[in-house]
Amino acid sequence: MIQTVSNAAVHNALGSGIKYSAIFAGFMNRTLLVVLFLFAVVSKLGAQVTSPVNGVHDDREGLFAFVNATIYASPEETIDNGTLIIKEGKVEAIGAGLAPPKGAVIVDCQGKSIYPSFIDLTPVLRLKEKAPKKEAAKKKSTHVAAHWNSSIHPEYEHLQEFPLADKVQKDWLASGFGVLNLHKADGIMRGSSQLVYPGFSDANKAVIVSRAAQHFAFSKGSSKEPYPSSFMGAVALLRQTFYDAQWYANGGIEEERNTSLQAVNDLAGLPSIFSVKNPLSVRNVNDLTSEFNRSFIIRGTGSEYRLKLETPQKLIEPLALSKPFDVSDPFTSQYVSLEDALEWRNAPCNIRLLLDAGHEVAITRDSLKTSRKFIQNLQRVMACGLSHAEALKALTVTPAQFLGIDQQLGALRPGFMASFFISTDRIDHKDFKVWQHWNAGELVFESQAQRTDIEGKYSLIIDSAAYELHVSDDKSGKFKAKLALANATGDAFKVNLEQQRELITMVITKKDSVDNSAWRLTGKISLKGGVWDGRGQDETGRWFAWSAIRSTEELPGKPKQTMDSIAPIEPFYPMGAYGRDSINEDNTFVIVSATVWTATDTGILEKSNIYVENGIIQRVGNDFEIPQGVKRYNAKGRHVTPGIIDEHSHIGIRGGVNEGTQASSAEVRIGDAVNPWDINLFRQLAGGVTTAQLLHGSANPIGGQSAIIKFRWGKGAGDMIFQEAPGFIKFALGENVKRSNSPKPGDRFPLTRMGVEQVYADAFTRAREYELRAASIPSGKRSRKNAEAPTNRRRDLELDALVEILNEERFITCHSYVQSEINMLMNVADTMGFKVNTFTHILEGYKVSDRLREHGAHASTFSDWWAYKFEVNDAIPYNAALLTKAGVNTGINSDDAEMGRRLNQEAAKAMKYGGLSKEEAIKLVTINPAKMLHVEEWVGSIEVGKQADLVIWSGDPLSVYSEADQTFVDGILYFDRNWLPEMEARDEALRSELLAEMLKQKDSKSRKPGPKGDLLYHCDTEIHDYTVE
Amino acid sequence: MITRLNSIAHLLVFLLTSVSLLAQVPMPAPEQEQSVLIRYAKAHLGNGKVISNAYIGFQNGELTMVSDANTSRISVLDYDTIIDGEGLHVFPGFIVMDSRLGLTEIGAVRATHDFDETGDFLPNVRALPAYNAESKIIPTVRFNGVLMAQVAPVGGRISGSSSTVQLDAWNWEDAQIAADEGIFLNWPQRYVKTGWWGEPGPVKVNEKYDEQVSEVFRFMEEARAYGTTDSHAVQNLRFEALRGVFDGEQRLYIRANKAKDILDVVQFKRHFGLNKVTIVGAQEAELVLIELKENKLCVVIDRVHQLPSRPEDGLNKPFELPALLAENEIPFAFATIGDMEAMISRNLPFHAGTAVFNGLDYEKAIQALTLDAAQMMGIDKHYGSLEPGKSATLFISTGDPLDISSNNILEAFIDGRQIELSSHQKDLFLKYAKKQGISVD
Repeated sequence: MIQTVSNAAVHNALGSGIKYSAIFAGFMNRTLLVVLFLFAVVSKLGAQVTSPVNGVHDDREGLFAFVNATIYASPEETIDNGTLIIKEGKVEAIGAGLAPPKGAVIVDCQGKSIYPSFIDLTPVLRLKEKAPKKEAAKKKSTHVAAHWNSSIHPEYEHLQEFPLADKVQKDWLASGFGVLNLHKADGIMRGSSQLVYPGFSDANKAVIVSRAAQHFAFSKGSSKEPYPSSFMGAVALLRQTFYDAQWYANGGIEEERNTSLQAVNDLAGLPSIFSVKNPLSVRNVNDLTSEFNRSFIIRGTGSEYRLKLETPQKLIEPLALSKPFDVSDPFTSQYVSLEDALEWRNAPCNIRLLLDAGHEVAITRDSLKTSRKFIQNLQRVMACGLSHAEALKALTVTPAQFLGIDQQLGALRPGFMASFFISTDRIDHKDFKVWQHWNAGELVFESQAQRTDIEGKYSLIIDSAAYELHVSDDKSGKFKAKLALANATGDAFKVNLEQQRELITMVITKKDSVDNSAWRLTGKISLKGGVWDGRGQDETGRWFAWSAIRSTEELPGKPKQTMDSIAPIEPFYPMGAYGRDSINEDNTFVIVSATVWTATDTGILEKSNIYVENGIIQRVGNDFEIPQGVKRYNAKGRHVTPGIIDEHSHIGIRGGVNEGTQASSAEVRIGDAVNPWDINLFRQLAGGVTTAQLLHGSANPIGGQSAIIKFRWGKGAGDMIFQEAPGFIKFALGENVKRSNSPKPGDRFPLTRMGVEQVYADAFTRAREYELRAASIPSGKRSRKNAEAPTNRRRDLELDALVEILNEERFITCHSYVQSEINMLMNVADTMGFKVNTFTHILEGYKVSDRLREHGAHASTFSDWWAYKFEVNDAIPYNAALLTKAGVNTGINSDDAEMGRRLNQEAAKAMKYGGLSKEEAIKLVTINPAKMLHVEEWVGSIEVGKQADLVIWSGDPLSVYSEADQTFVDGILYFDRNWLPEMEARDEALRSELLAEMLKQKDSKSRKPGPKGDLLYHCDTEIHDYTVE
Repeated sequence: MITRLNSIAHLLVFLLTSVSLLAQVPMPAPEQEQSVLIRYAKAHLGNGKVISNAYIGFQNGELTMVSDANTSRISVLDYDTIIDGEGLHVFPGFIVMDSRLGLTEIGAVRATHDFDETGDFLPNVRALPAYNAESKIIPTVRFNGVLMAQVAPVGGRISGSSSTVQLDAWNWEDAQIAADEGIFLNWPQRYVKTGWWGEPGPVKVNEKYDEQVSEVFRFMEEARAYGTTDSHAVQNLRFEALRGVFDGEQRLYIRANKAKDILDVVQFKRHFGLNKVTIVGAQEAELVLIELKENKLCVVIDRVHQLPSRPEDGLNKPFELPALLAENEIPFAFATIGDMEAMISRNLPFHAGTAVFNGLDYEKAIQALTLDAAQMMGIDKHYGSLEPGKSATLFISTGDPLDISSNNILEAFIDGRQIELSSHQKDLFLKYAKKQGISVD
């Protein structure tokens, strides 16, 4: 080992500089932070050592010169025959052929490379998160003035995890990482991380910055708090906490002490790193960026290339290269979906694609268990088109910039910290290996004794008899050997080989020997492993000389180390079955000779034409001249209806459909959880559905806010939102909210219909008070001079939604079954001064149609469902017809992914049961739901001026003997049955190609395929682990 | 004033009648006493044939005449009742397979569940005595043309025996057409769903698959050995219950969906030399069509209206399965297994209609709903088609019963008995139409 100087003072100064900054936390911004940091570095020369010394002081200059190296000083600068001079922990000089100063220890790096240490912003040091400690598992203890929810702990400082286990530190250093930003990957607001140098056992030396960044995620981690139980709940909790922190800063502190909210504000200037577990969550992080004017660096999943991101992002990406599936069985391999196969195939190209799209990318080693694995993956990614400079940038400069430490770390320049490693080769070369790692001027890692590579084929001579010896690298840091050919007598031999530095020991025994014949050899290695020689002893104790000479031949059967370069499969959207390569946005066309079901008073028009220009219906009928030169759809013998509107759907949602942990969860938004990749969107588009209300479930009386979407398959989640549609919210009554059918009903209020009423009474009473208080409180800072003045108003996202209902800015869709509860809610509404817009399901609506009409409520019901629970005992299939005839605006909804694609047929049931006309029946799934969703101005019927959401059916749209041929949304053709053969052929060809590749790469670690369990949400679906996001 | 009095009078009459009607399952029809002739209707015989202008006569519950009115001569005086069927259609009563009708009332109320017994190997457990002829669901299924059902248990590995019932009876004894005609076996699954319906988990590889298959083989080996003799010191009810499967009296219905599971079922069938085996489900049949055909397996299609199981699957794949089986001459019948399976069986005709739109020949669809189902259950001598000598179990429809808006059953007969087509749902409809002042015709 080369002796190293102590540079503790440097690190102390750096660390303490930041600690002081906390005093200014309230005002601190990032610039100031960087300034403080710089100040700390500049002042290091005058730093003092705080710890007493036992014995004689041993201060050293730490002056080293690394000569004859290829130095990759930064991604752009390569210095051949370079010299790196370091002193007192910093780079003193760097350049080609510099003469080492006097007094410097000279380290010869002939044939070696020097890189600045890699920086990992989100290392995961354990494969699994530590099992939650008992304290953490508990709910928030009442004597800590912290956030009420134990997944929110921004005040947590990641200090106790240091020092790391020696083995762990060494392995990270061996993978090139010399700067780690350690945080505790647990919870939603995870607190701050500290930036450390691995390799020191003394934290005073290791810590570079003690509050380097703050960390966020949507996963609640070890928190045993029931809330949030859904992805959208996590989003809401974060938003509420940010608002609470604003309130706290503006005077809320006068009302309560809260270290968590204080910490949110204190950390506001730190870089924010947001870990997502699903690429789709990037959208949610960006929403937080715009709402709170905060910027986030996103720690991605390794497949962010699947997104169409419009603005450049700062991303931290793992090298998540998954194992291929075992596809040896043609039957079971059919369960490997195209999506999974593509994800496997494109994973090495993720960063390449992201850089091409203009994003900034840092690489994280993530949870890769061994340095070897990381380097393998890195080399694989580089083989797929990531250049040496790009890789280096992603490992050094970019992460340093993200953290604002790029003037000290991430490159080797005079004045920069002397953190670097010396490797046997370039990182993209198969022989790359970290030889030494230096951190802050100290040698903190040296690979096993600069072991000589002895791999190869040798001619071994013992007692002047020649044997062929094969030595191969067993990939675990050891070599193993075998005698390839038996000797003349036909004996087979077993070889045990051990290498210690430049010495070698071998034991050679006969495999099937009944005698004890054995040779034990010891010798030295010369000429870079090419020649071994020494002495040995046989089983009789006789000594002899032996030698081995490496031949120039390659080892037989040695797998080629070269990595295949693969070009990425160009992303399409969504990247799986029936994804779209591109969308033809042409939205001017004419449909001719159709039977047009207008869903208006004009009823059904025979042999009519529809002219659509720029996505808007311009003419309907047969009394206008068909414009020339526009795309023409001949619908002779076919029927056209408005796009079907599903008032009640749970498809296209991810991370849970219920936030049922509280009686009211009005703050959560399905819009946060829209999953544009759900294949059921496409399937329903093929069933003529163009608009749906994606609803929160029915686990609690006041559920969450709906997302009304248009089925723009192939676009992103944000693009699916029906922009003109007003806000909606789900309410629910009856057995689900009472948890009657839950195996573990628990004690969450309410458990009876009596309690349900009180939930509403209470919620709207609070909402009224909140609104009144809001009116009386000026927003902004409380005047300290006038203590009597009211404090600033705390924005409450739950009550905001309820106030919106009171102000008719948000509309209720209420899950309901029996007449008593329906009347109850209308009573509460009348008393509290709001309106129930829609009763959904409402299977006993026919009993109370007069009351509904009076209240002005809409009804959205099932065609013929019943008998699935007690409260639907009186459900009758005549419901829709009776309600319609009673003058209640009525729709038929799905609440079911399968039925959603046959809603046209469900509407026909109102003809069979109760005798509605065709014209009335089609309205049940078009204009009527449009009215209840308050979107009838734009969609729901075929009328001039409306958006061209149209379906061309092969026949009578109410018959089981027809299907949608074409579906248009906004006048854009999003589904054409004629496309299917081509799409299916493409999917099958692509899948087969990828499976063939997998078969080639099959090994024992291949993943076993299995069918996907489609997570189809119903009203009642509650999940307790949404962390897959 | 007069109006007011009238309305009160109406209300009184209404209340009086409703008390007697409401929440009641209609009374089973009495034995056929009068002979009936349906003339000039289009008869779909259930065996693939159609008579466009037919005479259909029946007496004492039995069809006496099914013939072409253009070429036959009859005497109307031979019949007590003549139904003029011009423009109407006649079909044999539809049959729903692997059904929970009468074994369940309300999905979420466990107390009403009598289909899932505890234990693993339960061949001796019988669905028939648990069949509740008074179930409120039954009339709501009947009025769409479904007049018979195979009621089957679902629990354990071997669930027990199924029976065929007709849907207009006082009790299970009256209802039975074929008692214990089949045994249901749930083939082990290579992949298992985790979680429960409210909290679904991922699908996992079933590590115990081989072990579970061996268990089935072992149990069946012992049952077969037991069945080779009648003299047993100790009687084993489970093995006794399987005798019929080995001697070819009973059909073995095996629920299996995945292609590889079906291949294992084929090996199982061959191993035991069973000749009457039906696969229930067979969602991946397209991969094992040859095996199904060569081994003379038939299929109960679990549910036409379902989502494709893989994202890559054709959008209509489940809709196309019946046509695919027909094309490959694999006999099949329909079920509505899954969510709300008992109640949803009233939509059985529409499932078949979807299959027709997706390539299945219309009369073949009718055959699957009638004769092929009857054949599977071994009741085709008496049921399943309109042929002289068979039971007069049929219905008259104004239109195509396989399409929703034209499914309108005017009259239905079970064993010649003209059954009531009302239901508590219709009663509620009338009651509240009246309350809300809505006129209904």
